[in-house]
Amino acid sequence: MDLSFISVVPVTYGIFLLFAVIAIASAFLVVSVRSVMHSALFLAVFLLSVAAMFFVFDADFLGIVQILLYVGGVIVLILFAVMLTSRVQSHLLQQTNEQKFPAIIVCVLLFIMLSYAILTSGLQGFEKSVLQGGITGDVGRLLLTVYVLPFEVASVVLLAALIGAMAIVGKKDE
Amino acid sequence: MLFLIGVYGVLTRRNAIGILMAIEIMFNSANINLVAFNKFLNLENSIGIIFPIFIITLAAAETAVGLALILSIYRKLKSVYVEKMDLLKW
Repeated sequence: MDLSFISVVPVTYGIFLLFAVIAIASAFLVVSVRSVMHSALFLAVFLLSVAAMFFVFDADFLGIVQILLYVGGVIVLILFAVMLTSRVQSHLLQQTNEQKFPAIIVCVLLFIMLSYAILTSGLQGFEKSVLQGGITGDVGRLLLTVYVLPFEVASVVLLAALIGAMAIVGKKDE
Repeated sequence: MLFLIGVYGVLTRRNAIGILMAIEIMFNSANINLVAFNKFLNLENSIGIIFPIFIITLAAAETAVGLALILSIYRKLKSVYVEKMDLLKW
């Protein structure tokens, strides 16, 4: 085997492909298993494989944020909601409504449209990217200098979401 | 491809929480796309990483509010299946 031109791109492409296959498989299982609890656990697998893909793409800060917020926060929220709202129901209940066939048609049409858009946009293949040694410092600097307005607006949005969620769920005293 | 799996999930799941999970799949597929473009196109100011950070933040907030809505609907209707939530239908 001719290994004389081993550059970074083919090796990381193989690793990316592995995690991409895991992600696609677990995403497909999320939308097709019968029990919502299994769906939530497959969603956790999916989010972890997405975080692994972020690490492959040199976005280590984003991968850690993904694990903290999504796997540690959103999955916990979803598991709480699933456990609070599922009575003892038979697992033979169908989890998909009767619109499976139109949904498949819609998805195939969207796939054709998206692939046409991607293939005719004139993108070249891989370029060799500048390998930074991790991006956390750059991201921190950018968040506080160039992107400080979205940063502050995001904190206001989070505050509004928090208050809204509590207002929706809070019981009135009757 | 991941985006389309999410769309299929949104259109067919009966459980409202399942629909939320499919929306999360769509968010994450868009994030992967942005980060991949950031690595291979070397954009200035690393916007391909900043933008997914905000997407993750907003998606988490939106999921929290959606789950609050589902919980309050469950209290009223005692069911999470979206066929029963038809008060707005004609």
